[in-house]
Amino acid sequence: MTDIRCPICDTLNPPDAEVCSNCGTRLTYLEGDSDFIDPAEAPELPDWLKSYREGDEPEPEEPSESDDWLESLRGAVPSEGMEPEEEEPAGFEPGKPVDWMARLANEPLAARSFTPGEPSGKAPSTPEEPEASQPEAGEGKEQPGEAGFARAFPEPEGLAEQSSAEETEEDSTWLDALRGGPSDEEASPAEEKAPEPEEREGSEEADFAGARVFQMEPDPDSAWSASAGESPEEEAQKNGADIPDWPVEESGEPLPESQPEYEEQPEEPDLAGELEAALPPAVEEEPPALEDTGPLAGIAGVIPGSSAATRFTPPPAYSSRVVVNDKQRLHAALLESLVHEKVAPAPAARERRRSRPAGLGRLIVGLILIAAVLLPRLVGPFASQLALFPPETIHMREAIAGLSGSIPPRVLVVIDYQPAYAPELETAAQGPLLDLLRMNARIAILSTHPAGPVLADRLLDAVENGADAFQPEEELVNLGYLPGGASGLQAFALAPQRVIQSTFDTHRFPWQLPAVSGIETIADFNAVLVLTDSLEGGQAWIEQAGPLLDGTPLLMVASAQAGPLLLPYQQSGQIDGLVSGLVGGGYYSTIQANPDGPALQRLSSYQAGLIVILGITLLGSLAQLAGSRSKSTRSTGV
Amino acid sequence: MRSPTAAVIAIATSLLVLISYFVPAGPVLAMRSLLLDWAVILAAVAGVIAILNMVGVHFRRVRDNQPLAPYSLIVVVTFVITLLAGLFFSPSDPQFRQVVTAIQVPVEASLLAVVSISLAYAALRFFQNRKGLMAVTFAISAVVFLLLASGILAGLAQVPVLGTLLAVLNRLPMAGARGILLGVAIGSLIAGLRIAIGAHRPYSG
Amino acid sequence: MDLQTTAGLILLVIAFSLLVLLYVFTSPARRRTWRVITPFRRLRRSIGLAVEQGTRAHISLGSASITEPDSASALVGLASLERISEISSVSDRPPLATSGHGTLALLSKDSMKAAYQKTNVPELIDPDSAILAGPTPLSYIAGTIPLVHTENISANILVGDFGPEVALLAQAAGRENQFLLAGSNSLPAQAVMYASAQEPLIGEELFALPTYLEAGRIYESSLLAQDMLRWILILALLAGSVLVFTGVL
Repeated sequence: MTDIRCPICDTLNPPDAEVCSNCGTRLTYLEGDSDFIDPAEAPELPDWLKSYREGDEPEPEEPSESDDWLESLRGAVPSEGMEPEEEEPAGFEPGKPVDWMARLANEPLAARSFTPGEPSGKAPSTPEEPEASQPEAGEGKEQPGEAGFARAFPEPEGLAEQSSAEETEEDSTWLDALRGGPSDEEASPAEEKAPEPEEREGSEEADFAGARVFQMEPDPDSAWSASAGESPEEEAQKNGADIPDWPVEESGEPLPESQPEYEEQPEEPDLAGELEAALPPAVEEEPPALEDTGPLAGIAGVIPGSSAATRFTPPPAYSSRVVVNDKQRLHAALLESLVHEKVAPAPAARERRRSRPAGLGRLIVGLILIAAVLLPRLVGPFASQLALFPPETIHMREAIAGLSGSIPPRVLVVIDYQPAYAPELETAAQGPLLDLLRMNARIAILSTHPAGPVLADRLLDAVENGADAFQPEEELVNLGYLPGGASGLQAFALAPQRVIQSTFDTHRFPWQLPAVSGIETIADFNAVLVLTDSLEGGQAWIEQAGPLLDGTPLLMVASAQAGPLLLPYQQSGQIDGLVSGLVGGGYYSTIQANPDGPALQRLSSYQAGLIVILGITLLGSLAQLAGSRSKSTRSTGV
Repeated sequence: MRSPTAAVIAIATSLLVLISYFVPAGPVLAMRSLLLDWAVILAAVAGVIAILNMVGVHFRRVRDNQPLAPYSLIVVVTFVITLLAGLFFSPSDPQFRQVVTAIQVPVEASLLAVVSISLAYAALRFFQNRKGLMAVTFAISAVVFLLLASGILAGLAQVPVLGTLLAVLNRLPMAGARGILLGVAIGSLIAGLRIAIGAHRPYSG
Repeated sequence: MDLQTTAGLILLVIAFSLLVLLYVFTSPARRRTWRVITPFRRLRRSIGLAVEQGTRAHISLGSASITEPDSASALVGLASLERISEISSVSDRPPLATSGHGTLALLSKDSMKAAYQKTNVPELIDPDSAILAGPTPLSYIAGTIPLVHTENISANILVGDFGPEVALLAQAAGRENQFLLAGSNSLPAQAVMYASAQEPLIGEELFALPTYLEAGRIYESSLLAQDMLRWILILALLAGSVLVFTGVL
């Protein structure tokens, strides 16, 4: 015997193979399969019919569901030789590749390769287990997206647990060992894993683990669920939520009478007789008639003009309407609406319409904001007088003033901000830095952001102008970038000399330079000043370096977004002083009695911008409120 | 299949670092320092690899003439120029630093300015997108705390009753933020523990 | 050992015990009912739609380094990425993962690779599917926005450490009419997301994402442990307040 070539994928298979080893196509025919008759047992057919059959396979019929109603059509008379359905998994279609979705649904994810000879997969739906493919009780119709998600969650009870258990088995083996050795699938019977349908019905729809089809109701509370002005129903319709289930419902109805009975073997046609019958009946020959009118009068055998002219009638007007019943018309309308829904680019068109005013709106808002920020530059500052200084700023000032006792104080300045926040933080930090430079503090700059070493230049350039006595060559060292995040920070706090081996600009060993000589741990600095733009950056210093500071004050200058979040740390004593954003910088400059401080200079612009944003927020809220009121008034007719 | 060796190394390392946090003494501490050094180096190497990968992605986009290829070309060209300049001049060169800051700071600050404009516009249309009590509360909070944070009401803090009211109001967001941060911290703790015990392995080894 | 360290140790021990005990002693067959979190329901639907339509899901992991404490949200993002990759393995288009830090980019590649190996579709492993979009937070956002417009994306899942600049990404997704779920450990980012994202996650909701994606039983145990820890902490806070008010502390 020779190998069998798969009709689908052309793979050569052993002669005794029942299914293709590559694609799973069944290579042999099942007993009693009425659609596939062993050629050896097939009745003799005419040549032309044979060639027809070879060239054009009949459409495979629908899975088991259609078998049922066909059975009922036939009066439930089983055809001879028909094996019970268990012989072959329902839904398996001979001559076609194994349904990959069914295979996906029934095999463990880890072993999805097809094994020849094994059943190709569990039936997607059989009459014996109706719940297997039905939504849970109380759940709605399947909606778009659910089928796709269901592919990934094919067996909500079984597979969800199964895949979950498998993954856990792989991922946390020691935890599974604690559970008692074998995985849960092996240990527990199948019934346990897949509760009975009765159990499922009682479950809430929120119970995702059991949900085969995920009912996604539009949330009326959220405007995102539907476009503005659309009701949830409209949105659901837009998303195709109203996909009719008539094809399923109709599957139980009898076919029209013209539908052939597949199970009955067609009788061998008597071709000769049929062809003979199809021929027109023999006509007796008559002698040619003489033309009696017109120019051809007297000539025999011509086309009779007069009789043709008199017999001519206008062509009958046939109705172009197809005779359909109401149900068919309804189905056609539904189909048309579905197709139209798929094709019509309504959402995109609406989005395009909407995007233009949105762009314009943004432009107008941007221009108003820019004008508001520039206004104080034109008309002069109008910031309100900063009074009643916040305690964290006062503590900052006091902590820095307290450093003057140690001569010269050695301060670690940490740059922990992105370039985007440089303008804000440079402005806010100028007050504290100016104080430090004026007392000739030794400054070591460390960056926890890659751009930090470069940003340090900008920072000090702005401050140095106010501190004439500051000598950067002796009093400043740039330690460069510290990689590794919190881990690097902790390593630096423990042993700075081991982590930083070279200065950023001069590439020398830094720890012998006057600014940092004698520093062994982070606690040897007299103060640590962290400039940060995020809560996480500040937290990292509090958590990683804080415990190792041993009394050294930890001071922070934070951006306006991080300042309020870091305030609790100051109140609990984990931070010794805090300047928060431009306003905090303004407070510090006021305490410092430095009215020319850049923070105070820019405070007016900052406040003007905030007022405009406040106005925009209020305006938008009121407009929306008025709009919704008028809409509800219109809808109620009051 | 994930490598068991990688899992063993990861679990051992995380447990060692965790123990050393609570018992910071002796060989445990020395071991932690060593591991932290390695972590720093590995993080830097990972950064280099990822950046090369990023440039590779843009390069392939240019080569295959994919959408946005012109922008990818700009990325590749500027990357090469900056890299060569950095190698030639060294990153500590004052002029090189000046060039970098003169480009990076304005570009990023401008992007942040665009964010503020976008947020202002989002505030304008806020109630179009969100409805309900939560949305109203959010909007009122935004207005009140913007006012408080701006310093415009700083003068009112001296008025007895208003000062107390403002102080109470100032505490509210802190309390809310702490509550949210505590929840996030618990989630972070559990997520870290999953890694430490090897239940979640984002590394395949 | 000071009070703070002792409290931390106690919390750690309780968390560890809860996690392990809940995993070991809860029956895998028992179905649990989780509260409805609407964004997660819509996410599942969007992923399903993406699979059906042959579009991509975009998982944005933020800019945290894996060596930093704020990377916990990114770890959740990695777990979700792996699960979504498994789900999308039946689709023609693998998901796209973008990250803003080198370590995270490498781990996202590894997570996707593991998912495809687990689902027996190694041919889906694509080096361009997990990329570093930019090495700094703003450059990351700037590098990701064009991808949102051009990569045939229909669902965006933003889980990680972000700053307020995430508003730009949310608006870009909104312009393309794409689904967007956003969660972050960062408070400024949460506030911004609430104002601009389609489906924002507040607080610790983002840590429940792998559980709702059915990523494994360990995540269910984690969520239960998280809930129990929260109640323990609430009781501790109340007790502490009472003790302070009564003058005991």
